Amino acid sequence: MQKFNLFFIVRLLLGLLYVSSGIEKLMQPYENFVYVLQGYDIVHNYTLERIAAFFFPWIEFFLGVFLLLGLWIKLCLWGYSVLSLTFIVVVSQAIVRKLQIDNCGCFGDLVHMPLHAVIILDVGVLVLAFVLYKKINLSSYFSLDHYYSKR
Amino acid sequence: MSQSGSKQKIYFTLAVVLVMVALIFFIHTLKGLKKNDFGVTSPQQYPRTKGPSQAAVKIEEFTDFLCPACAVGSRVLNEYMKKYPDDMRLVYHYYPLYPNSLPSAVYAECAGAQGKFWEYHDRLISQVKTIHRAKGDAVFRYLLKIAEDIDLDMEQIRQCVADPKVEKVIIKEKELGNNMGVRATPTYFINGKRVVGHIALKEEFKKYFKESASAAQEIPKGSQAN
Repeated sequence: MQKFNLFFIVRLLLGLLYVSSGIEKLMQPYENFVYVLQGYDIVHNYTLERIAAFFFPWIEFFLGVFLLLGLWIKLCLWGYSVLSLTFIVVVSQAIVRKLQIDNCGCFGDLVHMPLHAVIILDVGVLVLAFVLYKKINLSSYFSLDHYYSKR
Repeated sequence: MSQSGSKQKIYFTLAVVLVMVALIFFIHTLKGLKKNDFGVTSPQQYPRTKGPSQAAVKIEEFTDFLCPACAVGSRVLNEYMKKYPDDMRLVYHYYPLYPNSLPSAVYAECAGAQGKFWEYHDRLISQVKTIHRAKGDAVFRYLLKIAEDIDLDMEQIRQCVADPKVEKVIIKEKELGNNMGVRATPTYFINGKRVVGHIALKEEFKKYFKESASAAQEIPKGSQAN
């Protein structure tokens, strides 16, 4: 009988987290996310804000999909780490500057989270991504990476 | 992994990307959230309008009286409407978000019934913080005070705000916003193009009026539409 694999479950949960976060934003007009980004008062360039608002949800969505499928797991975990670190920096500066942001906008309308909760969530994601990376063999259970490595 | 396995993996990745992108765009199309799907609603249908009906720039705004960004957006709109009075038409839609927003909208609607919607609107947004923080009866005292200040018929106002039909109008407006993909305030539709937030509104106006100014220079005098 196959042993219970916690790393596989964590991989699926992280995948689902980013898929839901990405898809919720993708289902809305991207202008709504431009407004969310402007709330963080960090870019100060309308064109860049629009570019970021357009591509960010796609990046989140595909990182999530690939992690669920177990495709390019190592690369995805790097992506997760970079995104989580970015979110931590952006949200922390908003907290330090006491910007009036009631809802982080991370999950669109799906879940409303205060900024402090976002920091905790992203630190958690960062730690889990690191653990999965360190235990890549166990994380690759039932993955396409594993399937293609045998071909 | 063999070379053919590696190739297959890349092909599979590309296939996943293509299928997912197609799926998302398909759902978007089904939901009808593309910006050009929205036309500017007819002025007959919505009485909260200002500016000439034949104006080149038609704006629909979905705002909340008690949202600070909406107040800033409103100042931007007023500034541009003063600058370009013949070129802009504004249609107002209620999109109440906070507990005190609905009564504020009800009073504004009733002020509109006496032909003073915009006066009431401007007074309300100048007191965003006060009304937002007010609790219980204090909210209604502030709202009545504004009505008094702009010389509304107080008896009519009291009757109007007690009428449940007025609240239904506002809820219907919010539903319209939801159907149009409005999720945050202020959201504007400038000639059908979605613009969210006061910063984006400024940027769009800068772009739009710069473009139309250069276009206007190219059109000989007398050939412009009135």
